[in-house]
Amino acid sequence: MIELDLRGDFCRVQVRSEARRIAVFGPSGAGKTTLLHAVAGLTRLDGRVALSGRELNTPFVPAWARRIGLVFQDDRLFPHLDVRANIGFAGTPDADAIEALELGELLDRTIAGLSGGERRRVALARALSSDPEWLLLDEPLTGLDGPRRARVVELLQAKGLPHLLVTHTVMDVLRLSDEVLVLDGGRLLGQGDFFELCADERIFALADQSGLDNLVGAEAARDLLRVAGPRAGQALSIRPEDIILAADPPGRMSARNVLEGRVVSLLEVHGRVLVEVDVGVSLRASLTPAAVSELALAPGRPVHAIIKATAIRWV
Amino acid sequence: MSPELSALVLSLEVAALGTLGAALLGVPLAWVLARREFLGKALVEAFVVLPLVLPPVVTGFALLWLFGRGSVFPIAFTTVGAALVAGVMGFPLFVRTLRVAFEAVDPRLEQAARSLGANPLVTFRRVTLPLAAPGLVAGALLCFARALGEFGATITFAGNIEGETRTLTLAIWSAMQSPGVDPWPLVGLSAALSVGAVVLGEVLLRRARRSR
Repeated sequence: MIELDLRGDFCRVQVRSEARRIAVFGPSGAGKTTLLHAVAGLTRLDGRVALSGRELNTPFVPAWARRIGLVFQDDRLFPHLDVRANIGFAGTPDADAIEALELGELLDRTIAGLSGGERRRVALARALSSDPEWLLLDEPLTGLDGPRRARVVELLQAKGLPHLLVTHTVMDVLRLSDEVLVLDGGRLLGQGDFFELCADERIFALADQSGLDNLVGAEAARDLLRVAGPRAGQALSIRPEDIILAADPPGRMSARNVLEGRVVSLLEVHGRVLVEVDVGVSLRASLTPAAVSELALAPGRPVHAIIKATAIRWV
Repeated sequence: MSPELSALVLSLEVAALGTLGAALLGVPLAWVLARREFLGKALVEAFVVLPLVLPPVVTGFALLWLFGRGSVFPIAFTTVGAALVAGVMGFPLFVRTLRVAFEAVDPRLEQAARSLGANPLVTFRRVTLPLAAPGLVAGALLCFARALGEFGATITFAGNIEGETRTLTLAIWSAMQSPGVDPWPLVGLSAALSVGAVVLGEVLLRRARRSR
């Protein structure tokens, strides 16, 4: 559980969440990192911060006594220590993290010799090895390729630590949170389920800017979707604008995926309609209002979802 | 022990002890100057460079007034007193060099250490100081070299007592005053020592940089 009542000039947020996996979503400059650093005790803001019921701001608990593991957006690895010493800076190196993040071969390398993705993985392992009670993650998946992102998601799931994640990517929100806080201009726009929040035009606009992709787990997709190319990750992403809905069964065509299902809900925002269909998994298609009325789409109506195999990406 | 050797050993002792003293006081001071703002900081900064700008004889005189006979620590005209002068004269060089090195350490790395549970002292010992190590070495060597070459303030405060305060520079001066004594061996030793200190400093700095 996290309770915040921050009263900074650029970050004024009052929120309480019982979720164990919380995402803070917003565009750059929204105050996300300020919020995260206030929770970490690296930035002092007036107001209240409590993690799992533990008061951290009144009286002020310094960062080093907060029992947090923080992954910085800019990694902040120690250049005078090798990879092994970085990971072990705060405690015994976490063997699970080293294995899952494939760091075994990098342990004796210097920090200067690492690529961006390698740095990110070392930073994650370092935070996990500090025996934290909460993980604070600032864009933890940036710079990682699809399969590695999936390993990180799996690792975080296996560790089971509560986390507060800051991201400007919808995909990260969907994969790594049970509840999302939407932040813009240092103010809270909404809290709850991400797609429900998209009913709010401002939140939808933010989500749309970042790409409101569908996410399908690899296991769920196995019997359902034909994908171009070999398997390269744990999940598939499909952009809502790449899904075609047909009222009648289509004839011969190049698209590899024709899925039968029903309309679940319609959400009209910004001159477009997000149509949620259940085809075995839940997918959202982005349609024009004209298309929706021509097909007479309404909840419960049977439809066919058509998706090109090349429009599906591994993530 | 020949007077030359005795002067050499004494020089090294006095300069090493003075540098050690300067470092003990200079490390925390350099850190405070690099990382903290406080009332009267400019005054402290001015006071630190004082031995660099004051005529050495004036510095020696001031020390005599502070540590002379009848003071709480009457160490004038002793080896410890010579070390004090050496440390005082090298102090500004040490503090300025290390301060610049501390300022060059990215505070975001110190934040990272704190987020990993390192308290301020541990952060200093494991992040700040190692990253500033080349500056620490350079500062200590400058201080040491300045201490080796010290003359004016030493002769004022510690005198020129053979075996106690007669360092190499003072021995050279004495030799020049005494007819029939050849100052050349002492001059050679002194020059070799200073050049050696500078070369050692370069080697250590290179090694520190390479390990990055």
